[in-house]
Amino acid sequence: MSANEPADKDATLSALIALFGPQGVRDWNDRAGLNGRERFLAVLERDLDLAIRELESDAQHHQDRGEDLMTRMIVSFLRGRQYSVKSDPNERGHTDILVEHQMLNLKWIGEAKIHTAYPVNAKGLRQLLFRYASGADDRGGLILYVFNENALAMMDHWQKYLMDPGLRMDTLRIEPDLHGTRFRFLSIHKHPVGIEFTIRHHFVLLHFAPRDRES
Amino acid sequence: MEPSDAELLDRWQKGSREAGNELVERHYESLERFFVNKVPSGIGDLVHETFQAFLESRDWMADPGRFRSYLFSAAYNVLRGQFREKGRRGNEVDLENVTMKALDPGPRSILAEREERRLLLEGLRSIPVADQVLLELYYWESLKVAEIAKVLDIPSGTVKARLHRARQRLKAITNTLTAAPNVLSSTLTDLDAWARQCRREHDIERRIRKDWPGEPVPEALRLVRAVVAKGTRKGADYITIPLMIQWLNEIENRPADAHVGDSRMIAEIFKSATYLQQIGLLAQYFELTREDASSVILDDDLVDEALSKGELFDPDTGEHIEDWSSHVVIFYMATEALRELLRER
Repeated sequence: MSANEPADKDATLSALIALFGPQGVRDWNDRAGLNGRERFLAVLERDLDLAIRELESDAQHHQDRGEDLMTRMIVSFLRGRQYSVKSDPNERGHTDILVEHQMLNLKWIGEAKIHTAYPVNAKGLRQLLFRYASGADDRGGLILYVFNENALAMMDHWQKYLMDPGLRMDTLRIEPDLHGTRFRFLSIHKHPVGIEFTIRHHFVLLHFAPRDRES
Repeated sequence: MEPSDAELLDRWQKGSREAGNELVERHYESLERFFVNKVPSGIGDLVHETFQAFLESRDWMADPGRFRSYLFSAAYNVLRGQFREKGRRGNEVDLENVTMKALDPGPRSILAEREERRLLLEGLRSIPVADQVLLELYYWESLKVAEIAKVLDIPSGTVKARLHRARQRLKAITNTLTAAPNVLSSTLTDLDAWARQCRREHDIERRIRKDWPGEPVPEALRLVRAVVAKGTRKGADYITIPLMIQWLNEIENRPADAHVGDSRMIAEIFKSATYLQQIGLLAQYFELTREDASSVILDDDLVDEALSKGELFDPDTGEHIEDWSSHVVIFYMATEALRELLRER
């Protein structure tokens, strides 16, 4: 212990475990980047899932909201978890979400769209892959706000669409996401710099048409 | 190779929005710094107005290589206009004589907590605005004498003479602002170093504010402010959460025992420190303190395993540590970026 420091229990891990629990402290350490880039990305994706869960739980209030407002709500949630995160920053063009970690020398870029048509989603994805992502990093995310019924069928269709070589997305393969809900999956693309770039696809379920009042 | 200002300007003129964005991005910080010690708020608007005035004036077309001179010239005019509009009832303000302190009293920089830097910033605001602009362009923006001459539309010889005069005025004013002129003597003889520190402070503050838009003083900035105000280079290797609470109490004029043991405060500081690690200002460490007062720094993965399994073994002796989490102190080290703002002591 260094001299002249107030070495009380508030300086120890026990104080933090009492506040956040052991897993909570591990998560914060991961956000700080102590356990490397994979663990940082994993906790970021978990936090992103929680932000999306919050949006989904309030679906009835988002029916007329634009994608910018919903994206800002996700960004605010991440900011509350102390990420260095910006919405609509200028990063080789205007990305929707940018999370940076200077110590890990990492940038995670997210593109968000209300699902209207597959070509529109594809355009967003192409922007992310071939414009915003320099290739120095290899992970990003596509967030699709889905107001339609049967999001599962839409997700299946989107996966097939991604593999269409005519759409110039250079998709190498589709993989299941083992950590999120069933409305997440990964697509791996060949980035122009030669690396494999992984996109995590997030389907935000905002369909709201209650039938409890139907006669 | 990066395109020059003149090349970007040319492409912007020909309709490339991207080139325009890049140019604005490249010079935004400099313009912010220009306005930050002179106006209380609305800096973003003034920067925007400057770019607009710059493009409209088209003076720069005669010599696009002198981009920065023309840009600061536009900023200087916008500043004049601002003074005319606000509080002066449309009258021209004589910037050769009036001071910022007279126009707009009150401290500007959040981070300038250290006595000598606060005094220098205050000193700058206490000399005529024209002198202030001259010194800031020379020391903060590293503009050459000929470039400043272009900005202020005066001969280079006059710039040199005025620089000399402005330094003398700053020295005289700052000495009257403090009861301990020796605090300032080293800083005044090395204005270059001081200018570098001002730029670093500004860059850090700007970085944090960009991540926390809309918050008057983000928590993380309060924490950095406390560390910069109370920390020293020597003590920068061992900053604990209770020490940060103590520093925050001191700079925010609370009793010494305020928030001691306050779990909400501990949580807030820990969380803000997480963010400060992400932006490269702090680094977090764990230290096992033993009963015999010896200690050892623990690897991060060892701590992670202990948090996962609920037990810790001494990495040197292999001994099982009872009540292990009470024996592991979290401390932070200032990184080089933050260390540069701390005093030598």
